[in-house]
Amino acid sequence: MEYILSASALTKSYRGFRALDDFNMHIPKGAIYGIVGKNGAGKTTLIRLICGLQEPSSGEFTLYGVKNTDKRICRSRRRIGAVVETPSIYMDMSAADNLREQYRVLGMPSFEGIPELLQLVGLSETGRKKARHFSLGMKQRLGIAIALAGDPDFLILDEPANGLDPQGIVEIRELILKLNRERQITVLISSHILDELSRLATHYGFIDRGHMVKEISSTELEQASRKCVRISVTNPQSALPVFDGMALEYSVVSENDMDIFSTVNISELVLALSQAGCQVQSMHEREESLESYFIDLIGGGAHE
Amino acid sequence: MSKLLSAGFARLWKNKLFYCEILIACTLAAVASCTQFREMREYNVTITLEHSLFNCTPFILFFAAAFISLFTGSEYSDGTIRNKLIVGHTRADMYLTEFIVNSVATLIVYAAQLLLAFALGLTMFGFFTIPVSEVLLQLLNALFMIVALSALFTMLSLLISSKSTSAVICLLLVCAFFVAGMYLNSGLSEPEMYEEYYMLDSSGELAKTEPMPNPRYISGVKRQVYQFLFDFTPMGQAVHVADYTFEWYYPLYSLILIAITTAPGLFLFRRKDIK
Repeated sequence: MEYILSASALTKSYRGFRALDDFNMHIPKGAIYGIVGKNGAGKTTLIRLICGLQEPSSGEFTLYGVKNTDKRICRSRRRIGAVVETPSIYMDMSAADNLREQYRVLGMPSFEGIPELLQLVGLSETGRKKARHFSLGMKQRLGIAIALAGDPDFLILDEPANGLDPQGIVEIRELILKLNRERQITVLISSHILDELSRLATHYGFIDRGHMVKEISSTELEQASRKCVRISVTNPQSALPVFDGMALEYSVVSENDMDIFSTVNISELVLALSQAGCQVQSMHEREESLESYFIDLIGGGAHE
Repeated sequence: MSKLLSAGFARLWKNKLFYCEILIACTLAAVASCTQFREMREYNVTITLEHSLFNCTPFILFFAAAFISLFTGSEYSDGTIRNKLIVGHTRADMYLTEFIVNSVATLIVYAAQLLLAFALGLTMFGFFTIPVSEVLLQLLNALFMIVALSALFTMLSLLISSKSTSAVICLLLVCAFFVAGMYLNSGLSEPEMYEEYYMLDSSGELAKTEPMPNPRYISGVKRQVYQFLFDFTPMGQAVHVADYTFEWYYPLYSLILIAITTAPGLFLFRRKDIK
């Protein structure tokens, strides 16, 4: 498999605190790679290192086959576009002026691609309005347009849905999918909104305390996700002995809700519960989400 | 680096603060020329174009501090410094570009001030009474001093990630230069001897005192240190330009200041963690 980016034993320390610790990662070409982790897990630090904003304390990464210690890494970086944390835009300039500025930074011969880029991110109607008067979503889209100015084939987005309204989140998602499908741009995206990420990502990397806990493709995740039956009962104390008696694998989700992972004969189960004096209030089949997979993997509160 | 320079100058031409500073610098030059003209007419003193021309030079320290800290600082506050790094520009190129753009901007502000002072002075005080080559020598000294100032403030603005902090530090530094400059200058201006003078004693006789050594006169190594500090700092150099004093080593001091700010500035900026 061809990797756009791979990291090996990457470490970044800040005054003794290891934000990234022996971190490994592999981003395949053409993927939408979602990086999932709690606050302070090291997601933004990783992105800063890749973008050259900071230098690793030890370890290395390879971008388009060029090591970060190689002088040619600057040339490799010309193929990437990124929005790190907040959009990097001049607040006293219009959207078009911001793009013209980035075109100059890139040494582009003409500005003719700017209207198309503004159209792509939905900012073609902003005219001479200064960026400081833009909504958060507009700023985010302008940040993405600037990241796309050099026609990159690797786009890095750090929390692109942060602070956006539902409509804005949908627009950003559609834009990312469009860029990936139509322009074959590989995307590295970090997000807290796991439900949103699960609609986009083709690959996931789960990061905790600066470590890569697991890398998995969305296909593998689907296979690993376990289906279950979520059952809500009136009297859990009498329900649990019934589950044990029927040798069912289950977990208690809340006071009245339980997930049963085994294949179960519904009629037999309901009858047995009824005989034990427990009424079934609701029952439905559900699949494990990215969120629950993440909690299982990282360990929820145990790691706080 | 040409790409960064093109982007840097394009941003400069659109910057309101830059034009605002030109306006304030020109206003100061106009006020200073008019004040001198009024003094010349009211008190019948002789004022020449060459002395009126460089009158406002010390103010360039404030203009440079304010402009450079805010112009370069907005690269951090707007986060746009990241756009340049992400697309593969080297930190050395970025540093030198900021230095060049800041130097040119400050020189333009100074040039605008000088041009207006020249135009007004020419009509009010007539043409130079000294050879033009001497004026050009002062111009050369001012040019080096301004580039040295720009190097100093560029270093501070690129090493301090907070725009407001770097603006405060740069302006406080200028104030410190002013205070230190005044202190050094007053120390250096003390006469070595109190002149002889005549006084009436209690009997009404005219008595003559002998010249006495001035205890506040600074001499020896201390004087050399004071003189060096005054000559070396941008404030002292600005005063020299305004006072029409020139020594061959003034531009050399500016070059040394450029080297000792740019070399460590570059070194530290290359290692700086940018967020």
